[in-house]
Amino acid sequence: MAPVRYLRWHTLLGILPFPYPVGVSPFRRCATPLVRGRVPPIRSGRLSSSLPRSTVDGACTEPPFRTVRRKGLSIKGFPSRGIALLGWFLVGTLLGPILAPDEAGAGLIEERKQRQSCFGCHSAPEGTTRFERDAETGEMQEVGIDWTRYGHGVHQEVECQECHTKGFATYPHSDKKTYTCMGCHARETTDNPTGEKATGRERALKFEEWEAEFLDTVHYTEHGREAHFPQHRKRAIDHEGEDYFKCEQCHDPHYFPLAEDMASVDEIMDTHNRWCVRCHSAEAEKTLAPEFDPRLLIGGEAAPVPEDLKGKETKTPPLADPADPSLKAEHAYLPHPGAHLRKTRCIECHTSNENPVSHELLVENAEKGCATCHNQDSVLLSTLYRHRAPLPKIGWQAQHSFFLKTGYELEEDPDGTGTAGSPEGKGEHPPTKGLDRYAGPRLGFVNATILEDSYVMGSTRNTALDWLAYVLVGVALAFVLMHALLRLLRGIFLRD
Amino acid sequence: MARADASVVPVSVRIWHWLTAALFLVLTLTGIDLHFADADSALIMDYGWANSLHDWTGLALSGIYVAFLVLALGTGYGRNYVPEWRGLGGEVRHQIGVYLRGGDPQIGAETRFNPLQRLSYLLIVFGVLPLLVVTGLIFLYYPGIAPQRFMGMAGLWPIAQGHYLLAILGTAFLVVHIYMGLLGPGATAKLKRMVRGSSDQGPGSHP
Repeated sequence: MAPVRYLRWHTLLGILPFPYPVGVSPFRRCATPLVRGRVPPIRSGRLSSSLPRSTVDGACTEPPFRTVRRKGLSIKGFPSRGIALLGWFLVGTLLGPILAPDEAGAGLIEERKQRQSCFGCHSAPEGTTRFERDAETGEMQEVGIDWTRYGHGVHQEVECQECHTKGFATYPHSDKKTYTCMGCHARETTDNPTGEKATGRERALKFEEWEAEFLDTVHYTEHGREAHFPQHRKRAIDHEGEDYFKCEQCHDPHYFPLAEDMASVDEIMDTHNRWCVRCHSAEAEKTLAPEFDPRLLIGGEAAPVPEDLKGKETKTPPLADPADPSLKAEHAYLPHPGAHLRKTRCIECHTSNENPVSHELLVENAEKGCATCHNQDSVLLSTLYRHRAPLPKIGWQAQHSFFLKTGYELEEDPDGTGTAGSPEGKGEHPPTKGLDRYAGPRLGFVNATILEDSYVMGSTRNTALDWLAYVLVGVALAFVLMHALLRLLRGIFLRD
Repeated sequence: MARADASVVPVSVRIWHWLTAALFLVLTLTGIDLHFADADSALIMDYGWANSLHDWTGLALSGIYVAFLVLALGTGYGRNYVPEWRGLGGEVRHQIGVYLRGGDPQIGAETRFNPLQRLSYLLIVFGVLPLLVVTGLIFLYYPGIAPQRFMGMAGLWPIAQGHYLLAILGTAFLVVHIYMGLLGPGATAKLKRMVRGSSDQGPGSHP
């Protein structure tokens, strides 16, 4: 029963934290622990006196080296320590998935279980796609969802069957019904945002207003549902599978990211501009055809008009104006059109400045003035930079310091909505959700919020340098005036 | 300023001077409009016009400045700008003392500029102006030269603020320079000298 005794004793060692106090290597050839300077005492009953002992200098003296075993166990603690280690390894392996933190959109958390039943067929990680044949129509449909991207989108908390509400609980899917945008969002009020599905956001999203604005735009009147299917009731949204310009063209319901969740202004710009540039660029004609339904390009050169749609061509080919011949050429009235196209969003000028989230499309009456952006009260602060302003955590000193002003006075929740105040009353300023940015004064620059990303002439002045300007030029003027006065008094002009 | 020899200002210098003056004035005025922009009203002219004018005028000034450099360095005219470094401090103090006592400093025949003029013109013509041109060109055509980020903010700001600071110095100089140009015997003597080459008071007299 010696092994049991060993096991009992050395199991305790097995629960000590790593590293084990090593005095014994299971791979050593000597029977006894090697201790410098002394020979370990022989414990009676434990070791046979016939085993060789180590010498004082710690080397085994027994030539040649061979494994020494005593009833299968030669080394103190071996193999029981090994068994204990193996045991903990197995426990860790089994417990790991249970204790590991859950990633958004995945994991074993109870609330997310519903979407997992969809994962099996509908998973398509980034760079891949997935097609399935529709059970009812027999057509191949793209059904892949990138779950990581889904977890970063605005609907990350929404389970699949909250929108794909009927017919999807079982396979094959039949009698399908999917809510579109207005299905959930039409019933929003301030007290009950997103209809019955409260998101915790305190301001209501004005979907009805946005739909009304969209219905007035050329995107709808010439490329929307009514243009293609005039017999249907005039609504922005659709039946599934019908292809025309609708909310989802720009706002992919699976992946749409909120601007306030995006880390940088560049990301916001890139995301928002991509929706426009998909169609409105000279290169779009070459790249659009595979991704886009050719019915949206009716009349354009990218695809000839299909037979069944002849006679329904839109009045203006979609890419002829304003992107003909190119975006840059169309915007040539601007000084430095390339810089403007690179560093602003299309919607800064092509939607209304009155409302920061506007779906009005301004074409002829688009913003063409310079000073709306290029001045200290830049409208950019309530559009592109609205999620970065006002700077959070700015101290009293920086607010009130003459030298360190950032161009705003920070108001503590002036309208009681839980959001920080808006400068000059422009637009809304949702709270910057946990964005961890340095919020201190920035070397005396006005609108440091904007300057963080790019220098905008006229908006990012430096108060210190401005005062230097006033002082220097003022001193020069003062000198001149004083000198002239003195000369006048001395009658110099009358001399000679 | 008395000169033993009323040396004539060369034609090329006069042309350069007035061209630069006019362009610099336009640049200053448009620059004020661009910098001190207000949403509701333009200070001097429409922002877009000011921008385009500032760009084109700046380019013209750059070209003219290069021409002047060629002129100054090629013909030796640039030597007028180099002060006598040794004892400069004493000379400047002496000159200021003369002014304070209400007199005119007498300078030698070979020199066009008195020591203070030399120093200030050197700084302006060979310091402020070329740097203005260079920062302006970077702003306009080569913003990529500027670092991406500088002290936590967009990297173009040192170029922009450098351009602005130099413009401040240039404007202050402009104010004083215009006034001093009216200080000749009679209000227009110096102006005539810069337009005609010499004042009509003959050699040996005050220009």
